[in-house]
Formats: sequence, C-alpha cells, structure tokens
Amino acid sequence: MKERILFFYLRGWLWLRRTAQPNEVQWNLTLAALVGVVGAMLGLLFKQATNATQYLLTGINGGGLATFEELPGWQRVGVPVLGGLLAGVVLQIGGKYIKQKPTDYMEAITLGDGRVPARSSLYRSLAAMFSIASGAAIGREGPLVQLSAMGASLLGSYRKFPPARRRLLVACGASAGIAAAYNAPIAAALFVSEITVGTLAMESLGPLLFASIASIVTIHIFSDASPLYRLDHFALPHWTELCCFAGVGIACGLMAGLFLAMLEQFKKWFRLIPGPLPVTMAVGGLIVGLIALRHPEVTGNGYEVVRSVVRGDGIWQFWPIVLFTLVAKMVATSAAFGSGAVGGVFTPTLLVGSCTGLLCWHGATALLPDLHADQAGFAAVGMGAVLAAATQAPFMAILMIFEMTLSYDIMIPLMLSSVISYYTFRGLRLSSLYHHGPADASDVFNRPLETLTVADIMQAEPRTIGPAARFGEVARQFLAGGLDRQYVVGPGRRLLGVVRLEDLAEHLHSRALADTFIAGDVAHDHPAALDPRSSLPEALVLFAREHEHILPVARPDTGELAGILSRNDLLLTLAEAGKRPGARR
Amino acid sequence: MAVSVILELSAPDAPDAIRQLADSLAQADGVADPAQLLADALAREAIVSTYVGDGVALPHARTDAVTARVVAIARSAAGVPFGHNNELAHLIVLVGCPRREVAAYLAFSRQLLRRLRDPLVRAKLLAATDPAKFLQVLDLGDALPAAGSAAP
Repeated sequence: MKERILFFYLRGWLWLRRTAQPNEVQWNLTLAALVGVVGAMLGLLFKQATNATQYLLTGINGGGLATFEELPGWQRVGVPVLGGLLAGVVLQIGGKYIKQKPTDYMEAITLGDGRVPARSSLYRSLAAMFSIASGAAIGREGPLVQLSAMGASLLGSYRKFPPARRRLLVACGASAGIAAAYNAPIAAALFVSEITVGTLAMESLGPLLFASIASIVTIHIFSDASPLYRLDHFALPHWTELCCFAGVGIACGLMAGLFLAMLEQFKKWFRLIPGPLPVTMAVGGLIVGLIALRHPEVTGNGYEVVRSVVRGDGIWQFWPIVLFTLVAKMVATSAAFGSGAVGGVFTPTLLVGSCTGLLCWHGATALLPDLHADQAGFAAVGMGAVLAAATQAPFMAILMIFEMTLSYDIMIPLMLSSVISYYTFRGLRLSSLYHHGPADASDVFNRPLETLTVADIMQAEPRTIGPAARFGEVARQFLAGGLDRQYVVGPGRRLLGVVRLEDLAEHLHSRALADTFIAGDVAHDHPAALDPRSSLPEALVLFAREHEHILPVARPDTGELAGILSRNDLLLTLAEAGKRPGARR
Repeated sequence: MAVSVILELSAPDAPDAIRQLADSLAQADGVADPAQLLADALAREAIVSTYVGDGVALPHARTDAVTARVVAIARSAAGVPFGHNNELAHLIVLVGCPRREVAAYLAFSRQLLRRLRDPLVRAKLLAATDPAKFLQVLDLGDALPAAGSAAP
C-alpha cells in the first residue's frame, strides 16, 4: 500500500516534470521564492522582537522615534548606554563560546562560498536587536539581511548544494532581506547583483528578482508595505533647475566621502578606548544618548526624519536646522557604528543624502530667488546621489529611490545627480561602503579560475543506491533527491552505474516490474565520469561530449564516487569569472 | 530473438531450473558464452528472488554473455521452489539481454510479465501441448525457436 502511494507520487511528480519540463534554473527560481518568503518572515520576526525589547527597555509601546521623544532626559541617555552594554555583552560572550568565524553584514553579502554560520549570525542579530531597540543610530537592514541570508544558507546546506548554487541562494536571501527592509524589490535584486555577485547576468538576476518578489508579497500579507517615502507633487524640472541638480551630484559625492571617512575614523578612535567590548559599546551609546538629550531625532536609523524631510515639513525651511541635523546624525551614526554596534548604515546614508539635497536647495534658492524648485525633490535626489556614491552602485541607487518615492518625474534629475555623485566619489579614491575585504584564499570564489578544479565546485556526498536496491527504493530516492539520475555504487563507494529516470518513467505503474527488478538490472554501466582534479574547461568539454546535464565525479584510480556536478553549477561558476582577482578592472 | 521452450521441466530448486534453461540456450543465436549467461543469471537470482507471484518466476540477467536478447521458457507441473519462501513456480522464463540495453529490456520484460500474469494466458500455457502452441499463446512478437529447443 505504502509503495503504491509512493509510485503514485512519483508518477505525479514525473507528470509535472514532463508537462512543465523544469530544468535546474526553474528549480532555482522555486527555491529562490521559498528563500524570499522565509527571509521576509525572519525579518518580520526580528522587527517584532526589536519592538518588544524596546518596550522592555523604555516602558513605552510604540517603537521608533516617537518612543525616544517621550522619554525623560536621563532615560534618553541611559537607554542607549544600557543597550550598548547589553549588545557588547552578547557579542563578547558569543565570540567566546561560539567558535564560528563571525561574519558581519558586509561579509554576509560578499557571499563567499555561501556558508553563513548560523549560530554566529544569531548572536550577532541578538546584539543588533539590543543596539537598535536602545536607539543606536544605525540601520536595521543589517540583521534583516544577515538573518535572511542565514536562512538561505541553512536551506543550501540542508539540501547539500554545491558552492555555486548555495552562493546563489544566499544572494537570494540577502536580496529578500533588503526587499523586505525597504519595500523595494527591484533595487534589492540589483543591489545584490551589482555589489556582491558583480554581474547582471540573468542566471543570477532572475532568482534574485524572484526572491525579492516573494519577500515583498509576504510582507504585504503580514504587514503594511507602502512605499517608504512617497513623493506625489514633484514635476519634471526646468533645465535651469537641472543645472542645480548637477551641483547636488557633486555635493553628495563629497558628502558621501566625508561620511564614510567619518565612519572609518570613529572606528579607529573607539579602538583606543581601553576595556572590554561592552564598555566600548556603552561609550558609543553614551555619545548617541548625549546628543539625543536635546535632539532625540538622531536615535534609530533616521527613517522618520527622512520621511519628514521628503514630506517637506515646515521646520526644514530653516537651513541651520538641516545642517545641525545632518552633522548630529553623522556623529551619532559614526559613534554607534564605530563602537562596534551590529547593523547597517543604509538608512542613515539616506538621511545624510536627504539633508545634503535639502541644503543644496537652500543654497540654490538663495542664489537664484526666481527658482521655483521643489524642496522634497531635492531631498529625494540627494538621497539617491549619496547612496550611489557610498555604495558605488548607481544603478541600484536610482532604482531604489524610484521604488521608494514612486515618482517617475524624479528619474531625470536623480540619474543626473547619481551619476555625477558616483564619479565625484570615485575621484576621492575611497573604499565604498561595501568594499570587499582582503580576499579569503580558502574561498572558492576568490580564487583565480585556472586554479579551480571540479572537486572545488562539485556537490559532495550525493545520494547513492546499492546495486541490490529494489525498484521502490530507487523511486523513493528519485523523489527525495530531486534529480533524474541515481548513482549505483558498490563497496567503497565505487561507481558502478547510473539509473536514468527516463528509462523507468514509462514503467513506474508496473507493479510486476517493481517487485522483480533491482537497481543493478536497470543501471547503465561505466557512465562517463569527471575526474575531481580536472579543470573547469575540461569539465565543460566532457559535458558537451556526453550531452548530459549532470555528471558523476569519480576518482580515476579507485573509481570511488566523490560527488556530482551539474552543468548549470559549472556555468554559474564560470559566469562570475569576470569578477575574479586578476580579471578585475 | 531466440527462444527455447522446455515443456516438462523437473528441477529440485531454482538454480537447477535456471541451469537447465541456460543449457537449452547454449546453441542459440546471440549466446556468446553460455557458461557466463548461467553464472550471471544465478548471481542475479542470489541477490533478490525473481519470483513474481501467481506461480511465475522471471530469472534474468543483463550480461555480456549474449549479443542479442534470448529467452528460455519452462513449464513445470510439480513446480520449482523459488526465493526464501520456497514459493512454487510453474512457469519459469529466463531472459538474457545485452548489457547496453536498458529501456528496451524493461519494456520487453514488462510486456512478458503482463502476459504471464493474465490468468487466461497462464491457463492456456499450462494446457499447451507443443512448443509452437505454447509460443503462440505467449505471443512474444518476433520469437524464433532457438536451435536445440525441445521440439516435440
């Protein structure tokens, strides 16, 4: 009876396969969507946990800036200090007992070989939760991306994916995390494509977009997901105004340079503070708290401030307030970031951009009194321009601002300023926000292509069956493995043959065959196999010769099955060739 | 396809039945190494019994000992015990098939099994009086009596 159900499932699965003819790319898309949903759920969970922690720390239910505005003075200082202390303790204990190489958010999205250590991601996210809940002037996209990437990595490890596919899944996780954080699915996919994968090839961009969309849909179902900074009344500017936007580009490029230099400088200063990490982080909290004493708007990632600026609220008509907010926020974020708080600086970067754009507007209207420029437009364009410079990913920045404001008219000044800002920043010769650290030599994706072998990129320890395995067992393995090849091995995992699903497909409903036949009866002998020491071009040649989409990898001396390699994984690895050391600009 | 028929098989156990069937194919077209065919069929039988139920057994081997598919069919009134449970097989069909064939081999085996599991076909086979009649009932398509087949 059990067997009958099994064959029923297998036949259904086969029918689906034949009707839809899914290939590996389509499987990747399906998994990407799954990663997107999981990423969004983790993000929502993190948000809830942060709000709950904030309530515990402050006693006020609400979340965000409003909470800090309600707090009495001593608490405005005390809560960030306490939060820094708690985050520091978590990081210290976690670092001591969890012997995993800690990855921070920047490293998580440089992907590596797609392994995001789960325990260290969790304790770092816990630290981030304390920092963010206590008002550290830092973005929450860091832990969102890290948790989402971790979820994807766990799925990749569970399914024992080879590095190329695991890496793509982690990229999908990062993309889902960003999409969830900013409600900007296209920009999220491009962010990961442009910054971490380094290519806009559809092989990777497709799954990334899928993950983003799935993430956004999940967010829509479970919470409010409207554009963050909607801009309704912006009209395509006159050409004189466009000249002003060129100026915004230059100013934003320079400001991005200043902001990034400050982040680095504060990091160095904080290293000079004696004492353990909790003390350093408490000092970071103290600086934020002291500024918040008079200006609570510096706490948190700055979302509410950016909203208010883009909405064109009255107080921003007064330029010293803009300037002061800009400086205070830059100091507060640098202090939080420099003290070691875990998080991102994405939204703080947007705040710097919006204030810079607004200052440009004040400058332009002072110089040209006849100018009827839109204040909010300048702020939104400034956001994009600083983002383009700081991330060195202008394409992503332009799309992200478009998705955040949903104003098409803003595109032309936005593109102009972003491109100018991008080149201005490059002229400063600084590292971008997401620069790649020193390459990890053990990481497959940092090694020159010619040194890679099949063993580096194959899927190790594939599912196998013995020659005496019954038809039912073979069918079960086909269902569990998701592949249409089963490798038959003898003692010592010696590769004996391969069972092809297409041979069995027509006979799956034959009970008589199922009772009588075993794997050895239906396996093709001596299948063509890759040598684990072969180079990737050699592997490509064998794939072309055999017309197979998946090949076993066997040691030539012992015949032992070392792994399997799919053509798609090989192509995914080769597609990133342009990004490797030596091939880089 | 070479086919041999043994209408009255008498064997104490499965290996002996398989040996007699393989022997009946020794001179058949397509059999390159009769000893190897026997050895491979016995080795296969030793892994998992090929008794399929309803008094039918289908010992088989994909082997280099044959260059084309060969079939030997035996009928045993007393029955030959097969497998761990010593179930009695009255119709025993040995199939030898070149190693390179997989899909065609499966398709053929399935067709054969379908005929053999049909009670009407089985009754006719058990009642057939000569090999020609026997093969006619079994309807194997391009079956040709193998040289050395036990003709009446």
